[in-house]
Amino acid sequence: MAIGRRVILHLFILFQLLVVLVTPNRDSFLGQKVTPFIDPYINFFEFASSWNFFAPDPGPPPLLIEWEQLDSSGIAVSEGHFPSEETYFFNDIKTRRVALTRFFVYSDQRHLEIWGAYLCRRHRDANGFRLWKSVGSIANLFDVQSGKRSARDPGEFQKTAVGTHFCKRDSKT
Amino acid sequence: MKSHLWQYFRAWEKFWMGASGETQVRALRVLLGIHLLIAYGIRAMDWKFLYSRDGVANWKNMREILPMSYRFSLFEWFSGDAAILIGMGVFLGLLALWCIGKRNVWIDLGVFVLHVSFLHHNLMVAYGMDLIVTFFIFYVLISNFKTREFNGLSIAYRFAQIQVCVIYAYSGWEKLKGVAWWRGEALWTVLANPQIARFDFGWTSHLPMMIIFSTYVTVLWEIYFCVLVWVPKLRRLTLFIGMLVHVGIGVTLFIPHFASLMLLTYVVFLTPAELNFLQNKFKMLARLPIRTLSKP
Repeated sequence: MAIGRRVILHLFILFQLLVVLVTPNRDSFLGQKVTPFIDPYINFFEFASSWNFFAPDPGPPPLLIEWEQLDSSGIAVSEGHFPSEETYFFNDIKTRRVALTRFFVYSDQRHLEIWGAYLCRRHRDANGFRLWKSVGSIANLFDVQSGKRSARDPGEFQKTAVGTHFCKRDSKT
Repeated sequence: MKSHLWQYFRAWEKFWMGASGETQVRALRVLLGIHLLIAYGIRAMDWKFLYSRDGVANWKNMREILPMSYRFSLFEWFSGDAAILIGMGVFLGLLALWCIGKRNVWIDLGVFVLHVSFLHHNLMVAYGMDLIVTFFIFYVLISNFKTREFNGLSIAYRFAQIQVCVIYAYSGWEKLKGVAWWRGEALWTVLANPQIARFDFGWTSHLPMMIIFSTYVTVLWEIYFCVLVWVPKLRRLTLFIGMLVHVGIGVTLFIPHFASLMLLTYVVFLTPAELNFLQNKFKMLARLPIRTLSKP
């Protein structure tokens, strides 16, 4: 019995090692072969991460998600953007907002359906929202060196239309 | 052949079961408790936007759009703002117990379950720190289990060490795919990003060689950390460079919690003597204000 327990224990160690080593590189041959078996375990315990901090490139540049609030006639009555320029005493609050912005910029479907629904919950009189994503730029080192541009200047944002989210009843209540 | 295999197996067993690691895992738990109490206490201030019913995370929406299979949250069954607030209170309370060194399997399990529940309740606002912490809380939980065959403490200790190595190795290798890292300008693109840099680092544009040098040191150190930290003569230097990197990140960018988390995981590479030395130094520093104020 002790041998049986020992075997199970070592199998667990091997399994956890496999998860730790293979999960960050799931596109590899081994990763693709084992993913169907380890996915439930990884998702359940939230061991899914690719450890790509500032990698491959330390992007992205400054990002914004913008919107126009539409009334029942489809006319824009107000606009806004996220994250706002508000400064927070605790950095973590800003960091999570930037993480959220990136999350939506990388997927138009999420942007439309999750962020659009959130805006509808916040603005209960809105009929819908027209959504955009905007990407700034990083100042060139030599431009900053010569004084042509400030390092804090995100430059002109390139705006791309995402679509229109119409508020549904369960989004409004 | 058989004796060689048996030798390797004995070495494997000694590595996983024979390490002490009690001081290191105990220190890791306390430091994690302090760190997470602060980080998640701050997150709790933003609970309305992050987790409430009127907030950005709508469970039904997310379940339909995100890959949420096998991802569960206590707040799926205990929904509503009251449940979120109670969950937060309990979570922070359990972390406070970690801070004062209280431990048992139920406290550790509670921390792990609540941490993952909050993570799954809104994956959109998770970033590196949240994902790294999951592993170390899991290892702290494992450390509670000890039988004749299973030395959870030793296993947890070894996994914590391997985890730090894996994080740096993959992060470093991934950087090799990036043009900015090859060109030596990666640090500039971080410092000149107003969304993540704390201050105006425009003055560093006049020190391009410093930027290039720091960029290459960062990527080389990350890639080779997993080897150098196991070499006794290079361990302290490797950890010292890591300390410089993470203090730099904490000071210059809006991610101080990530930087401090990576630093505190270094306790798993310190010897008990080194940990005691640091603890005594910290106690001395903590008593300094009292001594200074009580001087006539």
